[in-house]
Amino acid sequence: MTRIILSALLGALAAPAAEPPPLANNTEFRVRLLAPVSTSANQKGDKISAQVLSPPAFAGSIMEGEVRESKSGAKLKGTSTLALAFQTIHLKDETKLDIRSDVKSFINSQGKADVDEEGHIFQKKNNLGKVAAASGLGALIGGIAGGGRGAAIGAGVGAAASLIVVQMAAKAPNITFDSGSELVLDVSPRAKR
Amino acid sequence: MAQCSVCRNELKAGSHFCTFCGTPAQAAPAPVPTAQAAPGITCTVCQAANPAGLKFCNRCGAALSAPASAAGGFTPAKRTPLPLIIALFAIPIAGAAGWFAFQHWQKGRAAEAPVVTTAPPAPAPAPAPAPPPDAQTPFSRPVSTPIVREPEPAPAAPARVPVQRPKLPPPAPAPAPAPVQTAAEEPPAPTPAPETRPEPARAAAPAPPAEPAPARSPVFQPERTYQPAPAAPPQPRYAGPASGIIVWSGQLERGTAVTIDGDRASAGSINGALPGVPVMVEITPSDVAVAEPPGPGNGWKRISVRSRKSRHTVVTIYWRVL
Repeated sequence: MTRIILSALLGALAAPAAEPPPLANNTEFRVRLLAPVSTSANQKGDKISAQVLSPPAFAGSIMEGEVRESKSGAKLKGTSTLALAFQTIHLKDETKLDIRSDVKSFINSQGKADVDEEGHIFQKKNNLGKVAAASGLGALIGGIAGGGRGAAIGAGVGAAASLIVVQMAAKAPNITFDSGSELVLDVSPRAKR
Repeated sequence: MAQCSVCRNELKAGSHFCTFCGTPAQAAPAPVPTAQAAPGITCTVCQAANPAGLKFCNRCGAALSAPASAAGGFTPAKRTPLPLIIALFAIPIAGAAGWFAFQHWQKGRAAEAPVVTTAPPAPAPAPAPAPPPDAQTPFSRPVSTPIVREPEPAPAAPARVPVQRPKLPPPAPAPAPAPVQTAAEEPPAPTPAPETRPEPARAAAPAPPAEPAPARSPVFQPERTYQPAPAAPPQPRYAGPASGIIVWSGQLERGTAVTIDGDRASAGSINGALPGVPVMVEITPSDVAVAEPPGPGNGWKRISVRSRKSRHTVVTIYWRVL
């Protein structure tokens, strides 16, 4: 019995599960969209997927994520915003890796950087203003309800409710990316809870 | 000699204060002979020299302190009760530990006792070794088989039995031709063990036989392990078309997704299916969104589309294998 248990333990130790390749913080990934994304059709919460092109250790893996924000601008004068976030890498050996990602730049399906399919130049921005506003509102409500301590709590809640999201914005009615467009991402492993 | 009125300490001639308790002396005739006093401790108040060992100054009665702590008057040495506290805690703990160890030792002795006690009566019923299948007190010490026939120590024994069981089975297959292979693996085991109780081992517990089987299986495993290895990569190479089209038609409700799973759709009619391997998709019309693309999460077999307008339309999905 003891021998069996020992051999089972040794076997388990000797054959460890395949380790995913190490992922350092702020690793630059280049991925290719596997389905089109546009502010005119997609909405917040839609799923997205992309194939990893580089780094080589992850090449061929599939990333999955979602549309964090999709807003079309006005017809004549408006700004469209699109925010994408990838949360998981499905490695070739069918293991998953939880990640955080920020979009650094786009390359459309014709190979033009920072321009969408229709030629709209877009820029990267974040929603820090929104976060600040939400924090202020939270602090105001918290302050009214519970004084100084309530204000602090409210500010924290407000900030947490409006997470910082890096967006792509263009002064155009829509932002469109066909499948095959490439994204340059800043990827970091996400801490396990 | 004069005496202190409080502590009855003998006062030296000329002392103004008791050198033991500091009480002022009743009579104070002669001045203190400072010259005679040994240069032991100098009073911090009147600077008078006092012989070593005094607690209070002979002249002014101020408390005398040791030379090291001259600044602070009387500073009784603070004795921290830490050792005492430690001792108070340590003694009961040590006692409890000792008691526990003693109990444990006694239990162990009690468990072993049956073997010893049963030994004497055993010789008489020696002829019937079969009945004690349950006893199984095969400790390493009682080598002789007849002793083990006592069934009473059962409660203590069961825990140890399974440990030794695996050793017993090897002798059992002795009659069969198979042992030739097992013997090759474990040559020393078969010879001594069979004498002890080959029969009880089999009759007593049917469960152990299950263990020996896997233990012996390694002999045959190599052949099997070679087989699964090639079977492990059962990743069927995709041999289908490299690209294709899915045509869906029906009513798209505003904001409601239509899911196409395999060759079925949650609404409308469909022609075609995804291949179930990594693909890249395009969709027309362009204002129809891919709400959920095919991916590893859905086995590459599902796609959801959604429109921002309600309309009856035809959606064409082009897929291409990666």
